[in-house]
Amino acid sequence: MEGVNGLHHVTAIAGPPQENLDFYAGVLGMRLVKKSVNQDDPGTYHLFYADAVGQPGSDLTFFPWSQLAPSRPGHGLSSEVSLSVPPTAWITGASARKLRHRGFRGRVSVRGAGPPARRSSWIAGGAGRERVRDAAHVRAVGRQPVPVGRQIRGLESARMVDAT
Amino acid sequence: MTATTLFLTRVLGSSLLGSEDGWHRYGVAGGQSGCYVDLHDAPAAQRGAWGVGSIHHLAWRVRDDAHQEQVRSLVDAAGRRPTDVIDRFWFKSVYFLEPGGVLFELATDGPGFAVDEDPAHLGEALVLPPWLEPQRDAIAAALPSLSEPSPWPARRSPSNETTPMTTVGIVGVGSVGGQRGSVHAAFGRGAGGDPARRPCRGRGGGGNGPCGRRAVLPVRVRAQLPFEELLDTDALVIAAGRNGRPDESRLDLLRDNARLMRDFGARLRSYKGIVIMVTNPVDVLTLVLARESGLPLHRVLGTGTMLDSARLRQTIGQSLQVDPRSVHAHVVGEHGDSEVVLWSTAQVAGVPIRRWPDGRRKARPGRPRRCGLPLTRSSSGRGSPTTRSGW
Repeated sequence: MEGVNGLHHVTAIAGPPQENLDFYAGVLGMRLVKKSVNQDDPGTYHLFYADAVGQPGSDLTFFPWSQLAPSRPGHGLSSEVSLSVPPTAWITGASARKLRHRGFRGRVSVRGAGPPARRSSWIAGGAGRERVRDAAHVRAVGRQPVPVGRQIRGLESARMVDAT
Repeated sequence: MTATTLFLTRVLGSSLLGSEDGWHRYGVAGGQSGCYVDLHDAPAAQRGAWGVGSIHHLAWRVRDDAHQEQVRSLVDAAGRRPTDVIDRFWFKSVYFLEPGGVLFELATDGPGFAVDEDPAHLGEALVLPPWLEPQRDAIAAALPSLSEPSPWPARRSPSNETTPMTTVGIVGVGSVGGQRGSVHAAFGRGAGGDPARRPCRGRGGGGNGPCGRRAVLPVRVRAQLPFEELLDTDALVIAAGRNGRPDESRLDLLRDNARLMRDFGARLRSYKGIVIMVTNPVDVLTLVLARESGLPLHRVLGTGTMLDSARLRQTIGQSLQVDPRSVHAHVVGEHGDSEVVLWSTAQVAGVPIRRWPDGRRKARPGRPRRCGLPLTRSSSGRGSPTTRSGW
């Protein structure tokens, strides 16, 4: 039996679109690969961030629905995504910012929340050395405010609360 | 094994890779970038709610159309009721809920983002799928403009600028439960507050018992003020007017309350916000106020059958002992004696209620329910067909 091949993309609900663009492109160094609209709600953006070439499996996309209330974590929805990062740059930078570190079976993770700075919405999560080798196929982006060596490389995992 | 882990392993082909601190990592073979999903066992966890900061859906990779169809049929066989294939232009999608309720998608690798843009200039211009191109001008005009990303936090704005406090005025604070409940209903997640101009962010519950929801919106409620002082609010809830008497129908109220609404309408001609009508008979009075004020119709709203639908869901949920948020059932028509329950489309956790064990019989209450509002009998003696709860 053949299953699925990992994550294709993760779509999250964001606040104001400019704030979203500033953070994911301006801070995390992902590339805005598609500026489009929600096909079921064409009055709002659908913003796609990915690696340099927009490979499947590297994209994190957003519906900027800032009119919605903040989410409430719990079962029935996923509220965190881990992103694959180049470890050295991020662990060093994270220490400076006093973000929390967390491991998963030897991997070092950095946890932080994206904007809006409300309840944690995702983790800029991590990669140990083996992950960096795996992630080598993900290409970094030129012409971004973030140096190539510090850019987010793509998706790592998503988290769900299981109450079934 | 839980239903979700069974689904991940048997249908999506992932396997348990390890556990740590109550988290279980499942992974799939062949993933290049992200190939993990981490599950936290929490049988007693409350149900989450979508909103800013949550993930809308997780999409899983399938190689091509054939692979998608193969996994889709497995999902279907597992009873997860996948959608048909939807062409998202840059990939093709199938959606379904996994057993725990998280929205999953199967997305094809191709054709990819370069199908409609020069790979060197991805994301620079607004791209629409071909079927939306004819509406490009209107769509572009409705979207906020975006400028180049600036390095954080150069343009970081204080949080009170990114989410401005909404001010809601209430006209008529007689039976507070009713008005608070209406504010709850009108703002989706509730905004129950103190009528004394206190910011009510985070105040839960409110006066509407089980019909209300948690208050999470940054809303300031103003009431018990002269009418003119409410004119600079973002929204105005009109709850003024006299209540119905047990021996009259909602339409009997019309003569008295319509006179009041004409007066309000005349004073609201230059109002900039949204008017939400609560006073009964709500649908007729909404029209009266809209006509008299001359405000655009999309800024004069009536609560209609929203509360009836909420109570119906509450009643069905209680009868079947499921969370009312898993119940999808609607009351339509004019709010009042002639409203109709759409039993044929009512669903509980995605299952039609007629297929739910004893669903139809249990869900129809045999006695009037009260929900913080007075019970009023219809002049025809039939009562409201909803939950016989009055209004």
